[in-house]
Amino acid sequence: MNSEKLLVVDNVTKVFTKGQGFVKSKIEAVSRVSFALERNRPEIFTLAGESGSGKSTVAKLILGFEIPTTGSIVYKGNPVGGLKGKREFIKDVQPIFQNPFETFNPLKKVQSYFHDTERNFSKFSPGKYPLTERALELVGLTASEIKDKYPSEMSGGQLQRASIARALITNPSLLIADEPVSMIDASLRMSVVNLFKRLKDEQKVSIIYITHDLATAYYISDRIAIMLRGQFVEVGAVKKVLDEPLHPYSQLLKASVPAPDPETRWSEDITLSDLETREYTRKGCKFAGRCPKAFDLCREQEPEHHAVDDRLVKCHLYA
Amino acid sequence: MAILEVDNLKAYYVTQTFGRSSTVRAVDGVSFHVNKNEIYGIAGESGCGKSTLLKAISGLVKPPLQILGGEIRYNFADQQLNILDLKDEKQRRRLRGARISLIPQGSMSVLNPVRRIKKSFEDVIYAHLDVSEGEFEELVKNHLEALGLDWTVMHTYPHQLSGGMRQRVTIALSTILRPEIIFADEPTTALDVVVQRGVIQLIKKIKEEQQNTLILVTHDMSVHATLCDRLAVMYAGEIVEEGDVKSLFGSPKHPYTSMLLSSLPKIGDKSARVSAPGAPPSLANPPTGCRFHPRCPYAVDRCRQETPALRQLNETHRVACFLQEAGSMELQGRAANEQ
Repeated sequence: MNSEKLLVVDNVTKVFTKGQGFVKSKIEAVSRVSFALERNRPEIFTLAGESGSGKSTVAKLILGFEIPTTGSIVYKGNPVGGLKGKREFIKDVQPIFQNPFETFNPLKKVQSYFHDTERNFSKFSPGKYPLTERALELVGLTASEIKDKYPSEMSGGQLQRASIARALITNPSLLIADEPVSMIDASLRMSVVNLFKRLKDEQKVSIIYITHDLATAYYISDRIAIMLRGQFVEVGAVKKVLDEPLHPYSQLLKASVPAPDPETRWSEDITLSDLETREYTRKGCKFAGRCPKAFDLCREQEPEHHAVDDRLVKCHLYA
Repeated sequence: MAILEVDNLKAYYVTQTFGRSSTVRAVDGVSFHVNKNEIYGIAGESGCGKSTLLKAISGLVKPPLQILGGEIRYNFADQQLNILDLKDEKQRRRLRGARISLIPQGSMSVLNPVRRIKKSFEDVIYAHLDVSEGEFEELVKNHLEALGLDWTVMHTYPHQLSGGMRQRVTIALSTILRPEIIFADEPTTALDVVVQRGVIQLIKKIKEEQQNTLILVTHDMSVHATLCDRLAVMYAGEIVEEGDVKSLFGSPKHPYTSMLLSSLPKIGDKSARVSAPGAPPSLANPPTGCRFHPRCPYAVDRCRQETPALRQLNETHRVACFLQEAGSMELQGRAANEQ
């Protein structure tokens, strides 16, 4: 069953409760999210959206840090979070976090992370770390560059590449990268982004790339899901979705990316979102409060996913 | 007319540890001027001295930061002064907040987490103005209304507000006394694109309404392109290129500027892009000659030995690069070949 698939996320919902007793409130951080990655066709799948859209919660659910309230996540035929295939899963699915300066303990040498991981996952012969060397080579670092160094002695770009190298030691099939470039200078960003591209092409690693930066998403990914308040509002091939976004929210996102060109400046003004919780608990479409094209039905009834032009759009306009 | 003139400013961090002194030359011989009523941008990677430059010109100099030379002149309509001459902290305080104002970096952590927003506003206003409570409320209410914020935010604690909201409150706080010059240090970094757009919109609106001058520091070239009139690019403590945005983005003259611009991905363009090789140098021990030469694809021997001066290229454009001297077209030729 599902053996062709690497990862199947099926109708997953995660509800967080806040407060106690009378003031208890519920927030659907992730709401009925479904997608799948193929086993033999590595791809970079992007989850894009603003902060508070539930992107990171999806990552935590896939990594098994959180248990879905309803729905299921199956990795290579085994449910995530169960004991069956757990060791395989830990080896196979590796996370990369946002801030490399927080990923590494400032009091520990960077190399100790590599050596510990290697000792955990392979037959170990003292003083030799062949997997570490191979992983470092893949990201364009050398063992001497990290030898005896503390995180504070390395630059952000270097450290983030080291963080990716650490994830590669176990030879994973799936990387989950949560905002991996947002803390890195724009000029060094491309070194990390290009690395992901190369890992996909040469090492056949699938990557779930979580970001709010649509420009890098367009540059590296194959498919993209635009998230809003826990829901996928538009899913499809990145070229289709970003060249010609259909959902009004995707259109707003795309239009809000500032262009590095002084000739194209924005002319019209936008409205910013209400308080976050208000949008989460809104009836009907979550975007209705800000949508320029909203009509009565949008405020009453939640739209379904409609298949339009090779993608799924959650909007009444395309019913 | 220039409202701010900075002349050959040198701001170093001088530290002494166990008898060994080390000097970090964060701002090293920087000269520029800012005209009244314009938006002047300062760009560069992290660790190139942008924030130190802002600290120096707003008079926030505390050890280990020291000013070792140069002049910072403000030409207000009724008063001309050199901020380095103000030895008294009281005099500098009177200037800050009222005539010059800083929108600080990291709005997430600048508001006091255990005080309501209103308290922060009270601190700022009562420090400069002698007003009654009623006048205070009216002043704040009018200002918030103009910025599209609600009076209810005054009664909240910072943790109750979203990141974008907090940034907007910080901007409101920095501009309530209608300062003549606003310094904004990375005002949109760490914000989502849609919120970023809202904040940029807000900054523009304030500038138009209050008719003040804005100096914007950020590493994000796209933000500079959307907001600024003129832009200076800093590298390793020095300004390497300065010009009006249209000519700077249209035809960058310094290899560092072209590198910054060409590394930016764009929606609608999947062609391969390369990142700038290497990393910015340590300012404690900068390279000799042109500080960019270890990363520069066009470096020649002269670059390793001599330091290029910031030369006037035409009326609006200045660049510090030997390749632009004596009408050398080599760089443009090579750049054209690569494309």
